[in-house]
Amino acid sequence: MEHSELLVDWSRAQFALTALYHWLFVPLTLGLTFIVAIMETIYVKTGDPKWKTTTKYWMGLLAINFAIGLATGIIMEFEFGTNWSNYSWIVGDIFGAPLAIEGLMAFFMESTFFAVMFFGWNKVSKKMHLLSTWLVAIGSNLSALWILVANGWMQHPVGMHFNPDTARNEMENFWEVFLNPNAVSKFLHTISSGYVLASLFVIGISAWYLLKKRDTQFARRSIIVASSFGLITSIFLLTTGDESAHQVALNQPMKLAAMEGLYEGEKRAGIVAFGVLNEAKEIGDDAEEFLFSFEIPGALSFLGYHDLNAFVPGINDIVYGNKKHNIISVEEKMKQGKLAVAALSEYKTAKKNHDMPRAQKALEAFEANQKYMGYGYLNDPKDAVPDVSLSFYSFHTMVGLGTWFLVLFIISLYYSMTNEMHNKKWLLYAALFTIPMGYVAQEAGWIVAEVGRQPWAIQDLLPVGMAASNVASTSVMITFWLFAILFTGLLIAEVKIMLKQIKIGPEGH
Amino acid sequence: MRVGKTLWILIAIKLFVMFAIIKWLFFPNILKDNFESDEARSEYVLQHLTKDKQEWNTANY
Repeated sequence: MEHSELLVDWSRAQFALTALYHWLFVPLTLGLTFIVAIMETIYVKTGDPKWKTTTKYWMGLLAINFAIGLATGIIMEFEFGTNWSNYSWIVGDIFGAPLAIEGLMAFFMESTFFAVMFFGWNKVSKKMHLLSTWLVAIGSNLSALWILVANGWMQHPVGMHFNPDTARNEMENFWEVFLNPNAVSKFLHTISSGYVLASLFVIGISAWYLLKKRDTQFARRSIIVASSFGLITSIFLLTTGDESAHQVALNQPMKLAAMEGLYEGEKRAGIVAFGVLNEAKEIGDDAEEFLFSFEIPGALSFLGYHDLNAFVPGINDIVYGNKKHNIISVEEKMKQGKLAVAALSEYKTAKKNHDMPRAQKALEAFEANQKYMGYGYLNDPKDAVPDVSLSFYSFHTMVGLGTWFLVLFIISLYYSMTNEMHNKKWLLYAALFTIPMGYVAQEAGWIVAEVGRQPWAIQDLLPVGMAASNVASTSVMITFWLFAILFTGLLIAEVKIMLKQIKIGPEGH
Repeated sequence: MRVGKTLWILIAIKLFVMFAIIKWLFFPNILKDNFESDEARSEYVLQHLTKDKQEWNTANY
């Protein structure tokens, strides 16, 4: 593997830090824009000024989140150019198109109409204002679309051709990249998780007003909208999660095995509903996978392959191969990968020497082995296994919390419709304390997606170590801490300003 | 201070720190700054990708 482990680890840590902080701001914007649009639609339909007050209040909190989160994602662009320059070059042509569309279309649409939405209450007609609010919601979600198309491609690279003359992946088919099943399921799962978070946010803050016995009608109205929206989008989240897991099973079987702590593949594989991993377990040994676990039989086979009796490969099957199920070992892939790298090198030399027959032969050899090129950079077959504990616990945290959110939406909707919610103190406290849980689930989801695909920057083609730049690790360490301070400062500012606005309440807006 | 004013100030400080300090001091675009042409950048990345290659042996194929 290239570069010192220290440098690669700090570069990874820095990217993880910035991505995780960025993701504290984004999902609330994705969901709250729609909730606000729904509330404003009710206002325009009914003409009831109470709905205008409700809309403006949540729009104010949205503005705080938008303003503080604004441009935090740009930091990752900086990192691509400095810490991940090799990666940036190699993916340049694939990332260029989606990110350019994101910048030109979605971001400008979002920003322009955000200005109308926030500052234009008395300057444009009711209908124009409502249209702007909906366009902000659509625009912010479209921004996410293009980013997730790029991310989906990294997890399942399609629609491109690696040009050995330029060392770049060139897009061959835009629609194949755009409609990549991995990207589509990731996009839908990600935005719907944002809708769920925003619903929890609205319900939780409204619950606080009910606990304080103030602005109760405003709180009830907000809870009815948010719990309805949350319930519908939670069901959608479940179905998109199912499709995401199916795509992972098809294209990233190692990630699925790590998510479930599955070492030995089996038919009718179960999902561990609850379990504690045996941390002493090593790849290839006979130790038990769990200290204890409660399993739902057949559920993993069904989740992954939509077939209760499907064989789900375990970590050992993927690392050491399984002839019965036509699984090639990592060692074999490493051999092919090393041949691809050697052929690429030979192609380069032969071309430089104008030895075209030899270049052609090398090119054919490269193309024959290119599929596993990334494995050529691994030193040990076990390097192909991600962190099992982190993947397993993050996945189960996300799923467990997601289930609780669904239950909370059902109960909140029922009691808000029957106008009894203000009497259910336990429910109000539960709703309030579920707000941070929503953020935990969001971050856990990204940890599953990104840790689970290690060691790959581009699945099977480029390991993270080869993607990193050869820069001074001290420089990366310094900027890691700078970002940690900057983002923590922004987060504290967000929480403080929001708390102040919440205490002022809807009538103060 | 009104919340709108506070947010504008925060946005301005954040963008200044990000673009005028962090980007300028710590985040050069390595390939853009160190190489003059795309050809040179390609050559560098190809060199990086093939540095630890196996010895070429046509019998391998």
